[in-house]
Amino acid sequence: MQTFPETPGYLPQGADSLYFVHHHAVGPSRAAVLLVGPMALERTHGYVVWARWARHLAQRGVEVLRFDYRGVGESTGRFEQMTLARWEEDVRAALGHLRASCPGVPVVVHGLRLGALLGARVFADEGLAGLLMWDPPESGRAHLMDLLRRKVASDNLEGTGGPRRSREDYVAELESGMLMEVEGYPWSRELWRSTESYGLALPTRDDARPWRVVHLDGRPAEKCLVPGRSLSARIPRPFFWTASNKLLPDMSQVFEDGLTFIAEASARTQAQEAVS
Amino acid sequence: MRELFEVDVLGHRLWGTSHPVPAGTPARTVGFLFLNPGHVPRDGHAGLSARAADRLSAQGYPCFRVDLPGLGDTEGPLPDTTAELYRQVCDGGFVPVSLELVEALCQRHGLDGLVLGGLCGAATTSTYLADRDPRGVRGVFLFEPEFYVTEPVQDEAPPEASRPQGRRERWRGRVRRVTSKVFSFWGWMRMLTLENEYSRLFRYVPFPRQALLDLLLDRDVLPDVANVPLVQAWQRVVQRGTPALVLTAEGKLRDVFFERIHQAALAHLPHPNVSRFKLTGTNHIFTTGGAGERAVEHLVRWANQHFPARGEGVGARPEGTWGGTRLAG
Repeated sequence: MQTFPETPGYLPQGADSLYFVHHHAVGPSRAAVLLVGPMALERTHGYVVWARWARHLAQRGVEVLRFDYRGVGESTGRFEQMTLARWEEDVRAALGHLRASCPGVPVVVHGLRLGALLGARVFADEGLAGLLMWDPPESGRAHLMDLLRRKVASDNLEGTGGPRRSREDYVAELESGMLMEVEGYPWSRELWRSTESYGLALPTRDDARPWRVVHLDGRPAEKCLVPGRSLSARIPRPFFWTASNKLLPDMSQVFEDGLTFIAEASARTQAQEAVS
Repeated sequence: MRELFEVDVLGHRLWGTSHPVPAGTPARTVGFLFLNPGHVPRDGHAGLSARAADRLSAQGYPCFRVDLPGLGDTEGPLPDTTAELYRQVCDGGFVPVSLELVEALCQRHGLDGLVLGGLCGAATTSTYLADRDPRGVRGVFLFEPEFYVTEPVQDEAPPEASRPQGRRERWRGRVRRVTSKVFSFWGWMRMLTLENEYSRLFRYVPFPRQALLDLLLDRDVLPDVANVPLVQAWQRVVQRGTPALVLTAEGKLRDVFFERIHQAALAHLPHPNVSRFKLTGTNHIFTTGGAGERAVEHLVRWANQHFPARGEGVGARPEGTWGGTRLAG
């Protein structure tokens, strides 16, 4: 039986429990990574790749912790009570657990989609070794609007949404305080409003710590968010966090780039600590 | 309450979540086991399996949700595409592991048996298991069961470099995309069940959709694409009287197929043990129209009717039993 050293568990988070899986590094730990995943149905579709990425890192000497936000997946809690601020608290709780589990090991935060937005906020005020972002939305509001676009498309295509409505109709519904089902999850006005002014908090110029944006749509270099700190890679479409026929898309370039970034960020922090 | 557990079977370490019965609630002697819906982790689409297990355990049914090899948190090989995984599931690829799992869970928790099911691929594996192990599998709940074999895999889009560049080639590509649907059984099935991009036409053009569906799927014979071993397993399960709950998204591909296959395969069999509901206004994964919540309600009600606590009687006639008439969602 081939089993990887992985420990699932629950972290107390208020009245709820956060589900996590700790992938233990094979051999000496050279870094630790907190994986901050995508939201709702994107988590579901992307799970296979996300878990394999965690194992890929662990086999190469990286401690990895991935977790589910409250109200999603194996974690407890009611989705309709969640906001971006609450999920940011979850990121911090998971980070605390990872740090306690791997004392002295530099920690990098790696976010995918919504996770990149939340991870960037946490990176801003925590002493972390690096920040890696895969396909970050430009803001929380833009992200939710993108998910609403998918809702409009699928409702119209499948004929399941009742009378034809636009994104603006859905927004008005949310603003009125009604719960709205999006990809099976009940969105609330509080969730919607929590995305207001929740932009992608890129590190400031005077922040010397390593950070990196990875665009997975193969866009030209001039369209990258921050040309000097970005990688543009083309992974198979539809993306693995949507309904895709590819279970195991070729992610070798992105995996290699991510591992290199994590290793360098960790080595840099260790060198600085050695000097001081 | 949720607890995590692991089970070692046939060389795999499977990870799962159990939902123990709350203290003070009389525990039933059968539990519920939820399998992975397709490639999706054990909580299900939008947490459908997790929510159902929470509700059932509050009623006294110990519940388990387990990731099969390669899925969710369980390590294991996986094919490259969902189409290949689908084929594997249709062929009963997860049956040996699941059989061992049922036995291990029953032994560990002192249960008389388990009721198995879930959405899509979970329904397929559960049907095979109910056929193979009628003593361990006391019932099945099938959400959007798929009784047909895999659709032909579409050719992958050619890599960027080899894509046709000329105007003529581009047009030829577009025409091929349309004609491949016009002359394809699956293309028509998807269109008629409102599951592909061209089905929007029906909003504007009157069309005898049902008549064409009937033509494509003769009511009295099994369609060519039927998964015959699965249909045979289903026949035996029904014949044996195993309680079965079937939920489908009304008018969608699996609903239409189930109807036809059921009529062709079970025309001469009594099936009072089959409870059938069509959920209106939803999709294959029950993520629209509040279908997730309705599915959970149907499941809990059905569980209480068929698997009562000791001392309670089985309901006289389960609500919604399928008899060929249309049932409310």
